[in-house]
Amino acid sequence: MSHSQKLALHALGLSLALVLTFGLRGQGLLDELEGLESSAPEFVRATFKDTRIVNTQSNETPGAGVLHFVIAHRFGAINEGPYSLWGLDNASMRMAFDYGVNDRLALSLARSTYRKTLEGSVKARLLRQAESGGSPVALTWFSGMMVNGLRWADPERDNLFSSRIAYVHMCVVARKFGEKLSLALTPALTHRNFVPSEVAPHDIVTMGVGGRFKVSQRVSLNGECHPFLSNRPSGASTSLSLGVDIETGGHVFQLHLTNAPGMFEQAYLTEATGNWADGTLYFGFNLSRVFQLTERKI
Amino acid sequence: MQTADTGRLDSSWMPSQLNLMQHHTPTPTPTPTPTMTPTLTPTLTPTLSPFPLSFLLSFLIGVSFSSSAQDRLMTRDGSVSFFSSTPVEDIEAHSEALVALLNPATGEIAFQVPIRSFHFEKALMEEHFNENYLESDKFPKATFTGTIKNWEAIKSGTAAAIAEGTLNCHGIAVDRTVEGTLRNVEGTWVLDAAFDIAPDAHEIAIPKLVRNKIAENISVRVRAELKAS
Repeated sequence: MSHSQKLALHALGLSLALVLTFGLRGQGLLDELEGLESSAPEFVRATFKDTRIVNTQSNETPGAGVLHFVIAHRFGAINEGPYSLWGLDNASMRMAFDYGVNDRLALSLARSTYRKTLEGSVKARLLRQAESGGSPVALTWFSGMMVNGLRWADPERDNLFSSRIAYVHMCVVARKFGEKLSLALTPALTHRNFVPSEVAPHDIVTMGVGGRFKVSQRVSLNGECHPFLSNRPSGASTSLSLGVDIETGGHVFQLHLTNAPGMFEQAYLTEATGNWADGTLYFGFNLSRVFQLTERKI
Repeated sequence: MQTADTGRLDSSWMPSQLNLMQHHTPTPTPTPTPTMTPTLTPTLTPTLSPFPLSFLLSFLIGVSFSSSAQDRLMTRDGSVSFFSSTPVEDIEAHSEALVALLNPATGEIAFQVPIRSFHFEKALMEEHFNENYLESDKFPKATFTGTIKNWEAIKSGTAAAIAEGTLNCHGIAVDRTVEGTLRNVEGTWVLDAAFDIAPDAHEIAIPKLVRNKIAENISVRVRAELKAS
């Protein structure tokens, strides 16, 4: 064995010994703790800040006993120019009450000024993303019924109540990729009982993609897009929206820019009449507030 | 190499030899003593044969084997609660997932609690606690490691315990002295401790808007029943 080899061996031995002693003295008991922790999977929380990404559903539901009250505003097209203050003169709104029956099931009732639509919906967190051996994604189901409340365009016709109704079923597959980035796929089926013409489709399938990126502790940038998988309804563009979520205690402020003037599923998925290319975009502003109606036992 | 071997001998098929070895070799101490560090220095000189080095290594390995022995007092379901009280709002949270270890030979202690195991009455508070304040994705655990200064006195019946050590929460380690009680109830050591944590000291940022709702000092209570594993 050469001199330098011996030296290397000693140096290796010394560093090993040092690692062992320091390991033992400093972290020893704490290291022993590692093996004692419970191995139950921990569910990933707060994939999104809100129950919606921009327009569309996120995987989140309000917590057990939480009433989530949202007042959403959608203004006119910004390319209307200064006469209507870039659309701000023409606001439509949506009021929603979302209630968390438990941590995984929510019921919602909402009313939009857009076509005087009343909505009822159910949202269930079927699968939650978990660390260490659990599900890699969260799976949330949404089913909603939307009732057009406008007076009949042609009262002379034999008008059926069912003609007012549309249904939307959506499956949210979401994954939190770390503290900042979360992505979701939101395939959806929209069924319209009544369509404007014989050739217009009753069923419309979209494959939504959405995500959020946290730029700071309390601010995130959100975006979503809903390409059509089935035939595109006439006059509709692919729904594309960008937004900012700002969280302040019990409130979340949301600022949106979208080509969809309506704020419920049927409207933003299949009736995005605006266009990002020519600036027919709508500014949106949401305020939400949570009320804990029944406190959880801890 | 003998020291390392004694640590692993557990069968009684050769009692005489076992006795012999116990006569001739020191029993491994549960923790390494600081005096070992100076003995390392000579190994740096290249003229020494590898023998003392391997002896030293095996001794260290022997020590490490014996220090992971089964003589720890421990719990996996200790409870930690904290309370924040202000004129505007009272906030409390509980966890039943405290893991704790006590080395009865030295009085060394280690505590660990997952931040996500704290539950609040309000779901949104729990989310904000994890997301905005404690950042549990980045810093999933809070730990305390240290030594019970008067462990010898406690073993002979004193209940008041004083622990000195390091509290690590939100990734910031702070040296702390924590007082509590430790009583031996039929072989189970029942530990009770209460102390304050200032969010400021652990760099937990609280926005101005909610500062009047969160106390400057959060009272923490720890209760654990430590048993031989």
